[in-house]
Amino acid sequence: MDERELISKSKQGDRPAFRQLVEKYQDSVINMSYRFLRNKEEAEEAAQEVFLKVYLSRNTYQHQTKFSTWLFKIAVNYCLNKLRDRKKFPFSRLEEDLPAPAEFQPDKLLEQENLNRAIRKAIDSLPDQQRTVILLNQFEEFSYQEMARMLDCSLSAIESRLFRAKENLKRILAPFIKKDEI
Amino acid sequence: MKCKKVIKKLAIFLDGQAGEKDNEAISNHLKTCQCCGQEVKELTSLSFLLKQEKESVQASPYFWNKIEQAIIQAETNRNVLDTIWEWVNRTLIPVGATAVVVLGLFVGTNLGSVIYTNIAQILNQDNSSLAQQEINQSLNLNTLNDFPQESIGEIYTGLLAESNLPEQR
Repeated sequence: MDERELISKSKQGDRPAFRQLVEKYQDSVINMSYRFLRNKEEAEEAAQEVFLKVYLSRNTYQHQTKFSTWLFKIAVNYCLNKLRDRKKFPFSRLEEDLPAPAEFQPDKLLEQENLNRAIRKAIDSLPDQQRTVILLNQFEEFSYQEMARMLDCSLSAIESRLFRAKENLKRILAPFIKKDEI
Repeated sequence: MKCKKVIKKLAIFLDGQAGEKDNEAISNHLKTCQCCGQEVKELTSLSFLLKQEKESVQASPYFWNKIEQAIIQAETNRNVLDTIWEWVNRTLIPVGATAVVVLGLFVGTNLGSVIYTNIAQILNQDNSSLAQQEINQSLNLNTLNDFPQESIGEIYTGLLAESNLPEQR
C-alpha cells in the first residue's frame, strides 16, 4: 500500500493504516524531537503526542502538501512549544547533562562520543530559528522550499537563517573544522 | 557576483538548491576567488562534521500501543462531548426556549393584573381628579398635555386670524 492510500484510509479512521504511517516515520520524528529536547523519554513522548495530533487532525491534511512536511511541521511546533515552556519553567528541564566545551580534552577530540557532544552542544547553543533550520536541513534533509512551507516563512528567510546558523556553527566548532579541513 | 553575495548564497549552492542563474554565477566566481574557495572548504567540512553526529534514538516496543491507547481515549472523550452536545441541541435548547416563553407569559400576565388592579382601586375612590392623575402617571399620558384643548376647526381659525394680523395693521 503506498503512502497516499495509507493517508486516505487513515482519514477514514482505519487504525492499521495509520499504524503503518507511524511505523514509517516514528524514528525520524523521535530523533528530530530528541535533537530539540535532548532527552530520550521526552522525545518519545513528544513523538507520541505528535502522532496523536496528526491522527486527530487528519481530516485537515491536504494532499497537495507532502505528508512528511505536514507531519514535521506539527512536530517542530510541538518541540518549539516544549522548549518555550522550559524557558518559562527552567526547573522542569529534564535535559540530559552535557559537559561544557571546556571539558573536552585535546587527546580525546577524535573520539566519536566527544565529537557528538561537541556538535550537540554547538547546535543547542543556536537560537531556536537557526537550530530548527539546521536540524531540518542537515539531519532530515528537507529542501529549502519544504522548510519554508513548514515554518510559514519565505525562501529568503530560510536562506538567511541557514547562513547565520552555519556561520555560528563554524565559529563554535572551529577547532574541529580545522582538524577535518580538506 | 561579489564575494559578500556569493558567501551568503554558498549554503544553498552547496545544497544543490540554488537557481540556474545563481549556480552559474557562483561557479564562475569560485573559479577565480580563493577567499570564497576557502569558505566552500569550511562549509563542506562543517556539513561533514555535522553528519558525524550519528546518535539516534529507537522507538520503544510499546510506542504504537501508547499512541493507540491515546487515540482510543481521545475518541471516547470526543464521543462523550459529542453526546453531551447532541443532548443539549435536542433537549436543552427547546426546553429552554419553551421555559423562556412560559416565563414571559407568566410575568406579563401577573404584571398586567397588578396594573389593572391598581387602576381599578384608584377609579373606585371618590376623588376623580386624583384618579385621573394616577391614570395619567401610570399610563404615561402626561406627554399628551402639550396638545391644545380646542377642536381642529378652532385651531385653524386661530392660526388664520394670527396670520392676518399684520395685514390688518
